[in-house]
Amino acid sequence: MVSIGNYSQLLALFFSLTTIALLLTGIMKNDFRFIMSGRRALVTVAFFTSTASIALVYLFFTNNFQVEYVASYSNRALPLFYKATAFWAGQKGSLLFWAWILSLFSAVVVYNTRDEIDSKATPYIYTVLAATLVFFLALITFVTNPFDLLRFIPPDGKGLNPMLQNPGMIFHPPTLFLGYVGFTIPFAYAIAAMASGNLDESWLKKTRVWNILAWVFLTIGILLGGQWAYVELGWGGYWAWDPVENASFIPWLVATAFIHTAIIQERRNIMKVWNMTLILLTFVLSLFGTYLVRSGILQSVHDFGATGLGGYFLVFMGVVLIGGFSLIASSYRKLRSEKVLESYLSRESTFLFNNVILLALAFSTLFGTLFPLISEAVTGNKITVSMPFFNRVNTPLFLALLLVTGLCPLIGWRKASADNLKKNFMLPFLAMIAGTIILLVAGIREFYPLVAFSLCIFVAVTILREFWTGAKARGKLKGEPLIVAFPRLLWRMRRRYGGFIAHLGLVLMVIGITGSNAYKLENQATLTKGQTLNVGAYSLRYDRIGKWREWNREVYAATLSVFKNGTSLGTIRPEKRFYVNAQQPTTEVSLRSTLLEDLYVTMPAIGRNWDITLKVMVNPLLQWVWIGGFTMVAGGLIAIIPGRKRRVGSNDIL
Amino acid sequence: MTSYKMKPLAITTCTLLIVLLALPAAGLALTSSEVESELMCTCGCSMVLNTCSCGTADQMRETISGMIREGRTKKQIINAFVLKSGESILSSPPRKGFNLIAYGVPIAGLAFGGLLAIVFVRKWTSRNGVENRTDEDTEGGGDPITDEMQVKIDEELRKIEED
Repeated sequence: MVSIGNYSQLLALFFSLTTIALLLTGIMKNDFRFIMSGRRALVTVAFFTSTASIALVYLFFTNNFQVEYVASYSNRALPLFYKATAFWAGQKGSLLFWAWILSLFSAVVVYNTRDEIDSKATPYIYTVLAATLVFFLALITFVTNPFDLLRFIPPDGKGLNPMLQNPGMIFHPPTLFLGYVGFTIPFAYAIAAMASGNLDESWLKKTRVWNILAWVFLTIGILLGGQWAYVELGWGGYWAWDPVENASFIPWLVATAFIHTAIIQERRNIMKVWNMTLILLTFVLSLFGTYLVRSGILQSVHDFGATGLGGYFLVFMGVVLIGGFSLIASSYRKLRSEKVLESYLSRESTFLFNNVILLALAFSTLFGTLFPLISEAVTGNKITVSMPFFNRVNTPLFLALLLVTGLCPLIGWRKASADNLKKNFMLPFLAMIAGTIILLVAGIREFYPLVAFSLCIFVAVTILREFWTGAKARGKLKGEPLIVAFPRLLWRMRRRYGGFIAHLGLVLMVIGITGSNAYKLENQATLTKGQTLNVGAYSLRYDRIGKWREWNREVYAATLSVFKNGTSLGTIRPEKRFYVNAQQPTTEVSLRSTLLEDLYVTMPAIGRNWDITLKVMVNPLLQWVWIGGFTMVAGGLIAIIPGRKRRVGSNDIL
Repeated sequence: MTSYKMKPLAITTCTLLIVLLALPAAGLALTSSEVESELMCTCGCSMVLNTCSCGTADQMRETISGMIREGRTKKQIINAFVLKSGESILSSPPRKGFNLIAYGVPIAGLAFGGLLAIVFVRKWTSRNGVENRTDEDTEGGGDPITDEMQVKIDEELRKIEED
């Protein structure tokens, strides 16, 4: 199986190179036969990367510890489920996983373009995809091969890091990769559009689903990472602005900006240069994320260490950036928009300002992440840039973004009339003022939470007003009751309302983030049996502790009775786990979640006389972070549900 | 709504907001977690102290709690840690010297981006002389688009896109 893996990787690389050679020959000779052969070669790559991936999973399942990668990330005691997911636990496997996903996506592109094979742009799309595949396949074949063998056969492997033995960790890396890799497709279409000279908005229309799907996967990946951190790391938070977290967030921000301005280009055929630049940056920043993780240039809680791959990524990113910007420069005349904006007060303008804020957020996050390196290079001083810095710098920007999210639906396309604007603003504005007064009366006086909650009211009302007026208008036109008109409107115009749902998700997330950060309660104490710890309205009484063996770990679990304002809410059971082959024990969080607040309990230490150290937190509104996040995802998915093809000549309205 | 009708509402709202904002906020005593969020754990885990649960972090927390009990201020406690372990113990760079760049550049970036956006919007709106047009010029004689019309327009655009 090791040989099958090795040969499959090698053949995948060979066919990627063949694809490029055939396609370039086809383009130069204008010979259709070469392009057809190039297409087939590209699909063949997917077959061989799939074979290599299956081979690696098989090696994990069969405990082949002579394979260095298997020995490093698995052991005999590891449950079968985690053996399969250990595939992407380390660098070598995750690079093979990247290549595999990209080759499958490339095969889907080949299928999708089956009717466009005579298009001038199509061979260029395949060439860009194949070139990206060459980079990753060359890395895993020659530099960091997952099928490398040890000179001896160890009796057992080192095992998977206990922190990674969590359901969230199964889906977090692959969804992130699906997001990163997904952006390769619109990037390939953009490059192909410039290389072929076909610079209308057709490339954007063809890649709309890819853009949003990649964004959805990246969003899910980030959310799952946050959920994993929340339940696994035991510090009571979900986002620490760690360099590796930032590495996924930066391309997400730029991709979000791109999705917004792509809408403008589709509708108005303007901002072509800007969109080309944004998709180029999104792709490069996706690579940069991997570079940051693999180069070891920054200290991170995600301790991947220096892997020697940084240089390769740096060169590849450099080539992509130089090549991409050269193409944009050479196509600049054709890309320049003939149409213009008609007014400051137009939705196009608000999209532009939304882009400025999103990019400022991306820039400040990138700059803050890299600042320790800059500082060390200039002053020789090693400094740390962590959570407080990012919270301080980015919070005002997030609030500005939230404001623009609310303003956008209030302003019409092209040019808003002053009367309409006044009419649209009145209700959200009054709702915000009323909400602010209620918040103040309720005792919320801190500046940022007050502004954040008030803006949430403003944005939520603008969005709900959109749903209301849309459903009412449809109901009036079709004679439908509102309860029927609303879902039909949502379905018929899912792209528009999917976007609004995503914005509503953002509002819910901001509510969760603000509540859980600003009003968190915390207490820590060491208890003997029968003693009680109080946090806010909660009291936790230490009843007993148990110990047992479970799969590949020994578990110590304390049972605590929970009371809120004196009323019993049942029990809660934080754990301490000692994994086989692991150096340190891990703490397992025990959670009691409601929509109002989370009771978050960890047990950092167990004493000799069975006294326990408890860390208890009350995180208000935290569940809204996840609800909001997955509402955003749902909005994105609704926006890309394909419609039925209409019969030609059909003239039915609504 | 005409402006004279808006005035009393605006005045009442502003007065209420000022009065409510002037009311005192609760909880001014220094807590350990306020200090913890400003410091890094020194065990080498690259985590902010209030997010780390290792033994070193516990010891640092105990030290902080002791200093708070002694009546030291947040600044004094942080200075004591910096004196012992250097500036790298701070979770965010102090706002002085070269570090000011860390705080200034993102703001400058936003200002530059915003300015650029304004310049572009100005340029684009003036390219075919539309900047001085009134609503009536572009909105079809001043008739606003009704919600029903907007739904119809969106639906038609969607159909064209699907075709």
